[in-house]
Amino acid sequence: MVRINLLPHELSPESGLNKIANILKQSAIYAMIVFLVLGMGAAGFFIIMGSQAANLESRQAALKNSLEDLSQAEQSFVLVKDRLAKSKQIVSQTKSAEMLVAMDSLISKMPPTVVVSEAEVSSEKTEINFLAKNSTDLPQILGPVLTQFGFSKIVLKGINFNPASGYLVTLEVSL
Amino acid sequence: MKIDIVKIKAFAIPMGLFVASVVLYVVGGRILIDQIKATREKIARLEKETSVFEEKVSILQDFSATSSNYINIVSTALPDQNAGITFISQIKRGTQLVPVVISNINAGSPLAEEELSKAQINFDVDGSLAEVMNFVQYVSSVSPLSRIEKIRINQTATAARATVTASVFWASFPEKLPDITQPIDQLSADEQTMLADLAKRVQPVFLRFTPTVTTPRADPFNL
Repeated sequence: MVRINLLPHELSPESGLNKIANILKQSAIYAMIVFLVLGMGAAGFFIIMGSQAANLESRQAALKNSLEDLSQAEQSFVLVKDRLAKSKQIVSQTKSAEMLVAMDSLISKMPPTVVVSEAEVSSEKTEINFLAKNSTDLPQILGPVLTQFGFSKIVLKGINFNPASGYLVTLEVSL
Repeated sequence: MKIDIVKIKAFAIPMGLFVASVVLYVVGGRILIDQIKATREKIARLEKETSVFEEKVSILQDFSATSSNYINIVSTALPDQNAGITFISQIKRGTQLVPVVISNINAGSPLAEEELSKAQINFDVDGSLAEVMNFVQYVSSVSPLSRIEKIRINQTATAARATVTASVFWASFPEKLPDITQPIDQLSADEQTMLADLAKRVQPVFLRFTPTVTTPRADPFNL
């Protein structure tokens, strides 16, 4: 095809400028095409994501309905959790009961000639007074106390002798 | 001068197109990136919430099968009102199990606190040392929950006496449910153990009087 240019020669732009203008024009056209392609891709992305979001929203709405139906169970669950946490708080501070079990077991290991004349059990400390008729019973009192029950602290507070009643051994123990 | 205008015109249109495409890229790209980011964040949030809801529904469905039993156990162990009377009734019931004599029962004024309220109960137990010890252990194994603060045991040649100071607890029930989007955890192993421990405790006996059915009065004039 023959290209005819009827413009006077002096009116045509310089070839360098013309080249730059062509490059800019082509770049702009390619950029638009790429932008359009990207835009279409983005539109596709939004359609897919939109349908995913809609699915999730409808699933969530169904689950919310189920949760509303289960609100009674949720109330019970919260109540049970609350009570258990508070019960744990009480039980964890209760050392006297464990000490009583240890003391009961300790008393059962004493010979018949040894009696517990007085005992005081509290959360802080336990003080036990053993009354022994003979001095030969003293090792039998201290033996189990020292070797068994795993007391963290044992204080021998005193050994008193009374000719009428015998030996009074006062021990302070902690678990 | 005319030549310059033509030159500028020939250059301006492609330049304008190029600038327009750059602006389109900057503005459109920014909007597009923001939108993609927002959509992804929305999807992530919805997925997270849905998974929380699914877990919550599953936990609550499992729990609802046994909840009525659990509620009785925990609310008897730690009621919402002063448990002193129930505790004293449990002490008295204990004398049917362990042959001891209970005396000097007295209850201190309640000490209401935000978390746990308590009242102090004092009583004396008379019997042999073994029976007294058994009884005190029974007391620490009853529902409602109590804490033995102090025991003073005195033993004579014939009998033993224990002066017991115990605290009995109660706490107001929770008033608010957590937010619907807040996840819940299943009962932990510790909580299961605590629940089993509470279930093993000696439960109080409550007498429930059922209302009598009223029958219509007979009309004495139409007999």
